[in-house]
Amino acid sequence: MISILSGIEAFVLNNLVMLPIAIGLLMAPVMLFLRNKPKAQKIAAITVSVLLLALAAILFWIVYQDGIQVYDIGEFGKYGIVLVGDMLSALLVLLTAFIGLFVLIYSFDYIEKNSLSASYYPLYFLMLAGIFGIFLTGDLFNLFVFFEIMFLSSTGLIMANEALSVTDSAHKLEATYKYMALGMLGSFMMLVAIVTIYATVGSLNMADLAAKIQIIAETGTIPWVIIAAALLFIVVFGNKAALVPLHFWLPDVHPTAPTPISAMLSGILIKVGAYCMLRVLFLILYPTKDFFLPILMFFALLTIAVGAISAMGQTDLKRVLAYSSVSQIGYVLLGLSLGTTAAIAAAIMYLVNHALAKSMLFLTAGGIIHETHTRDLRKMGGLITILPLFSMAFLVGAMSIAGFPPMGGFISKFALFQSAVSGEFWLPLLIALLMAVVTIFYMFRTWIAIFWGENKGSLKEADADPDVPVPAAAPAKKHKISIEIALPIVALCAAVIILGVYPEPLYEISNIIATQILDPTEYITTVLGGAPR
Amino acid sequence: MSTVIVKTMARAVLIVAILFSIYLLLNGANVPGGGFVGGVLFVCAIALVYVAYGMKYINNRLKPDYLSWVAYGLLFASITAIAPMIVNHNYFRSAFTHYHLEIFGIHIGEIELLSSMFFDIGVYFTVIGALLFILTNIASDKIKETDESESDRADLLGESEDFSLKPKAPVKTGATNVTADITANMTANTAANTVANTEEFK
Repeated sequence: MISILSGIEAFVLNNLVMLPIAIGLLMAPVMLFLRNKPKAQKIAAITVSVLLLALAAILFWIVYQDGIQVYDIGEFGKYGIVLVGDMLSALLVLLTAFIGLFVLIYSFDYIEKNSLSASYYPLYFLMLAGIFGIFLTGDLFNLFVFFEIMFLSSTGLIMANEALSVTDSAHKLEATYKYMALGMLGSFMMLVAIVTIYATVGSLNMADLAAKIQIIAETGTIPWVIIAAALLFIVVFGNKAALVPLHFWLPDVHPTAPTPISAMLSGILIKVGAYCMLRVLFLILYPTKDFFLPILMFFALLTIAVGAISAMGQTDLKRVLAYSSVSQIGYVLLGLSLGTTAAIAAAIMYLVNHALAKSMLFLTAGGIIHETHTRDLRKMGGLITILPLFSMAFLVGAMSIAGFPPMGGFISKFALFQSAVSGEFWLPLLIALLMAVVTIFYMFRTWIAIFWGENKGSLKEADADPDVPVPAAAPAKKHKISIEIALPIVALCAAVIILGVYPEPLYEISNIIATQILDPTEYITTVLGGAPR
Repeated sequence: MSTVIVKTMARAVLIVAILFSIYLLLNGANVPGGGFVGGVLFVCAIALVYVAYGMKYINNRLKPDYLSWVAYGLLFASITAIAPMIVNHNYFRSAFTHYHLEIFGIHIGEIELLSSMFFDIGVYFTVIGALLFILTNIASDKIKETDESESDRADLLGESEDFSLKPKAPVKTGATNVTADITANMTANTAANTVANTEEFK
């Protein structure tokens, strides 16, 4: 018995970095096999998600204790693909597994049964595997492959049917088409950028690339193609992260996707863009920072302003949240573009806090939509007596996004502004502060519109309007708040408050990450020395 | 499309194409080919049969469930990748061995047996399942025919029996009036109905 346990322990510790990806990839076909047995599927999905969360926690703990972990896929040695788990990767894997677990629990009740069994579970696990892969890979081309896995599976998930849909399938198709077309274009440009780097430097291993580009920068001038590739990477990852001139797909896609997937898209998938910028631009292409930092800062400020101002005028609940995501990712990218250790640490804190708060807000919005059968804020009102839990949860989320103490959002916003002050970036600070006020306005306007005022009886309202046909899938029955819908909201709410009241661990971890990113010596020596090459 | 020539050729080509696709699959580890290309060739052969004989012909005989092909293929591929982890190697580690093939004591040649071949087989089935799933789904999509024109014609000819139908659209009032007049002249039986109808429209 003990030998079996120690065997499992050794197995887990040996393959710790690989296991989240491998399990995700394995679960996709298993779920396809179980597609006629919804009960078994549910049990398997929940078990595996808890397992993934446990593995992510172990990975995080081990990386925190023992430093960077390297895994050589296929034991190919010099030409192989490595997976690298450093603090940044481990933190984001933990975050993804945490949000992923609760989004999955939420989906049990929210997604329509046939859709759930036939395609939702396999694609969901495939998407999780893709996201874990993006966070953990140490190879530039492998990053592209995992990007594609994540992108294609999320495209399928956007089309999943909700149990009680308020969205036209024509709108869904339009949004998916935009998402696909822009995603394909982004993938193509990413390939061009990767090929450019490979043709110039002759390697795809991130640590190797970082070391070689550092040497090139020290010995002479950097070839212009590397600078061009760096700027192209801003376009590619900016497309994923909804940087402003490339943001217009997001307010279509995030609201039309089924709510759990909206939570996943806004919580994790746009953070993938920020993560990749951090990894590729700051780890590998850092010597070109004089070129990309000002550009990134300009567009980050533009993103903050456009997102916040657009969110003010929206009447669609999920669209407000989507535009808010655009604005908030601007704050994260602003933190990156300031370039100091404190600013990057603040950006990472911001990223984590926003991911938790925004996925919680989307899940809450889903519950509200199920109650009112509409996404239109003008048809809501007075729900505070009917949905006390949701009103509390939405208030916590709104306070966190707007940056009120004692929520997590306050700490991260405070740290970001403090780093801007200490770095003496006065103009960006001014714009960011101004838009923070706008954030307060649109978040609380939304909350008041939903929960205060008179109950307008949105069901009758929809019937009275003859031009808008009532969707066939919207019967008069109310969708009861089940435990599957309430539990994720409460859990994420608790996480937001805990990170606000007790922020020291996250602050410390973010500082470690920022130091590791700006001084990649440990990363390079561990990867190049650790793997057999 | 489905002339005798196409049908006959489809039968002849099917066997050759499938054999060649299996050859591509098994040969593709180190030379051009492999699971994906082999799978696509297999799909081409099957698609030719679909074109020649039609959906119904195949569905009546086989009732293929292509989604489970995808599931088997993916499972096969991921298990191949995970298997080395159980024997203390890394994910995707592959092993190979050489095997002398002899028949009746005559040396035929040397075969390279690769464990990554199983991965290729998984890819092969995934590609076949996914492509045929897409093709058959698109092919079985029925175009909804609008029966509006037919019902109009029926109205004009007085063939329509059900006059108590709800008025379809207010735009058509004029046309229905004309039909109502014609039918009222033609049969006394439906006259009461039509009068009621016309009055409703006015």
